[in-house]
Amino acid sequence: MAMRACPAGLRLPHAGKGRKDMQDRYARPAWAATALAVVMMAGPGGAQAGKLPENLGPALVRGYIAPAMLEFRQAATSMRDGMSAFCAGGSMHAGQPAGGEGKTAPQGVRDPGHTERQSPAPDGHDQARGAAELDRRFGRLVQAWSGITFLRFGPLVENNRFERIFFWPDPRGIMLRQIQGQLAAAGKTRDDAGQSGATAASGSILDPQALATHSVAIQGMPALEYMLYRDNGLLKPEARQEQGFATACGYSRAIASNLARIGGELAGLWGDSGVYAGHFSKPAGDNPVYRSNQEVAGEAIKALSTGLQFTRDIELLPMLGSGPKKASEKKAPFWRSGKSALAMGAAARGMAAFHDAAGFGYAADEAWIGSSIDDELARAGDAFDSVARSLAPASASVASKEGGLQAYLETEDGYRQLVLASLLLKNAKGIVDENMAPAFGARIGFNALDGD
Amino acid sequence: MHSMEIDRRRFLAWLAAVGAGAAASPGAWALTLDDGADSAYYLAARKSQEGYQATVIDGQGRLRLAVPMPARGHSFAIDAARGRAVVFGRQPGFFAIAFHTGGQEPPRTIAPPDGRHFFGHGVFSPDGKLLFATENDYDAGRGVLGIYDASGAGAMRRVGEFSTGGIGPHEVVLMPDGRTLCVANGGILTHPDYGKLALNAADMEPSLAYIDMVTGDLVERHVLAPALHRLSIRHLVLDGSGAVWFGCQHTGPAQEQPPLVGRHRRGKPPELFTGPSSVLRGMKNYVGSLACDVSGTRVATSSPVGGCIVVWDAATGKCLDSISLFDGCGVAPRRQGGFVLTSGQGEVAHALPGEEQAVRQSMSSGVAWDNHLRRV
Repeated sequence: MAMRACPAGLRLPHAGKGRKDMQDRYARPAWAATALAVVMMAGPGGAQAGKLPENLGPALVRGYIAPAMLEFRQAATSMRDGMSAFCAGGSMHAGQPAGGEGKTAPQGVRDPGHTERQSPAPDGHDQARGAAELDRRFGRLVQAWSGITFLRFGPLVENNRFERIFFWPDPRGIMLRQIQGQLAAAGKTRDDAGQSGATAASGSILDPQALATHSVAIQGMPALEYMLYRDNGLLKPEARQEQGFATACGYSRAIASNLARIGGELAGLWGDSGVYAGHFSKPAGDNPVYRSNQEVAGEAIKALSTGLQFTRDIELLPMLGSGPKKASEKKAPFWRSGKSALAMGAAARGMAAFHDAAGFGYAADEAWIGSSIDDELARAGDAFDSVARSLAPASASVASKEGGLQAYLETEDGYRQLVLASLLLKNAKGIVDENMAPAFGARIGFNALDGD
Repeated sequence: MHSMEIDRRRFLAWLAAVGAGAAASPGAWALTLDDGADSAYYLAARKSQEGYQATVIDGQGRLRLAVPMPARGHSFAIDAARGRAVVFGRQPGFFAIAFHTGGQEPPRTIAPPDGRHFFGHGVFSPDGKLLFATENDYDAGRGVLGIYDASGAGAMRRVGEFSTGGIGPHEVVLMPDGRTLCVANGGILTHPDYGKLALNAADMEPSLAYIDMVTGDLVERHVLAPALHRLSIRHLVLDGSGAVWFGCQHTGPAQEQPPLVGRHRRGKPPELFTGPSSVLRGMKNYVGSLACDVSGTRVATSSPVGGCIVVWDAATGKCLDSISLFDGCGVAPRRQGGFVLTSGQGEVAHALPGEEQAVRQSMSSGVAWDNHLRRV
């Protein structure tokens, strides 16, 4: 099925070209654009001009996967510590985790910092500074997550870790319904107990261990974002005067703790002595997951292909709709925090870094494949970053980011910038599927490509 | 992955182009070959240089009829007694097309109502008066069987729906009693805005559901063990004894290798069969289609992901064979025994009893046979 295309034919026009022109010129077969369950197979007849590095698995683990998992763990830990300090009313300093990396922040049923009574009442200035710091930490977390989202195999699939971290998209609004129900129940429990603070009862969402047993919809980043950035969210100037502040803060801290725990598991499984890092690094006949280097390559190429598709088809295209007037920021991930473009830019750059870390040995006449993937992803990253910069003037309040992307989308230039990014991602996926995969002997079956 | 809006727009444009599905002359949509070589015919959707088509072919892959489709198709409901079939769009499908397998009349299009899309499978009632299609009530997140009046000569009209008792109903088959429908509720919640992305990976609950086609009552329902909640039950076939065989797709981590093939006899719990570990591993956690041979004693399960077709003894559940076919998914009973196979690479082959290799019949350049091959 793979069609070889000359490199020149795959280049995108510059942003000045009309959108329709770009779409027509780069239209691809529908099935190529609909794949989610891509499966790469080493099969007979696959032309293999490129050379797979013998140490492909270790190169990817050490060069990208393990550091990216570690960064997610650290970003989540920083978020947890930031939440703890914020809830306690203490001050935070940029770049300095309140609880210290690797320490477990106070949490759970005996945490005195949970109670409203014991929380100092910072002035408005402290609240604004604390909110800005949490926003910064949340931004780091979004970027760290975007750098591993596409590694959706092994540890990220086990135990529903992906969904625990990122229950999204959620077209039926399950997360909101469940959070509202849980917050009401947690508030009632507190009232029934005659307590002024948010002490976590057994099974409460305020307790990180208990939270992990609740629905995945309320455990992860979309839930944390909602608590921080919603209309009466924790980052709003008047948040501490809200009646449910302690409960909301306790729940948010529990989410961040849960994320830090999952991040620790991911970093462990992919670390130097990690079980999955071992599977990925040492393919062999008795390896329960990867029998050959070719299978490792298949996993890596599949991760790139499906990652590109996820960013474009799931995160970006629904937001763009059929035109500027139909565009809706609320269909993008992290729209409440104004970090949609930041997330997608980090995803593009992460996938480029992953590709580079592999050290794929392209044949001389196919060297354009590797450089084209890098170029397209770098340009996509630039396009997203440009959008992110447009949306994040230094003076903007962290509490009022909602709506910025919407206004941007409704401008012709803004919309075009994101369409350009979508075309770059589509192009990169096309090169991965149609040129990179066959260059390394991986055949993509029509039926295997898109299961049903 | 298309947005729902684009799919609908494309479908409406296509409808206009073919004259609302009823005005085109047969020559405009059908290619009829009178080869007379084999009276066994098969239905398969495909992608060819002419676009997406629903086709009638013989056991060697020779084309008898081609019906154009606006997008990729999936499987068929067959009313053999009246020479009719309906091809369904691949999920999320916004079209179905009814046609005569002999090409006597122009095809007629069927659109699901607002808020529903097809999952790709359906079945006729024995008298041919009703068509049942697996559909997604996607805003409510529940599976339904759409019911269409197929009694007249005109367009099939939707007259109601039954709950399937689960999420993500995929294949539906008619039980030997002629009244009960068995539905594979795959358990995967999807929304057409996000294609086939699973929105409920953590709390899937696949099931086999038996539904009375007259009353809509859910008369029997089975779920697998909780540890297998990410094992999506997708495809079904009946063996000669009337037992339901089902094929699954594991959506959990690749290092888990649960059984993918099972058998269910009414009133009993489902049984799962693994075969040798090398065969199970070779299926790569994926079964794409099933068929039972003409004797009713052999069941074949295809895995395009693993590039193999595995044959099972219907009585014992013993694995008999594993035959390699790259990207092979379509499988149907061969009239003289064994199975006819199709692949996404344009190959039509036969799996014959006692043969370790598939015997190629034809290879069509530029053709990709889609997941299902159905004997008329």
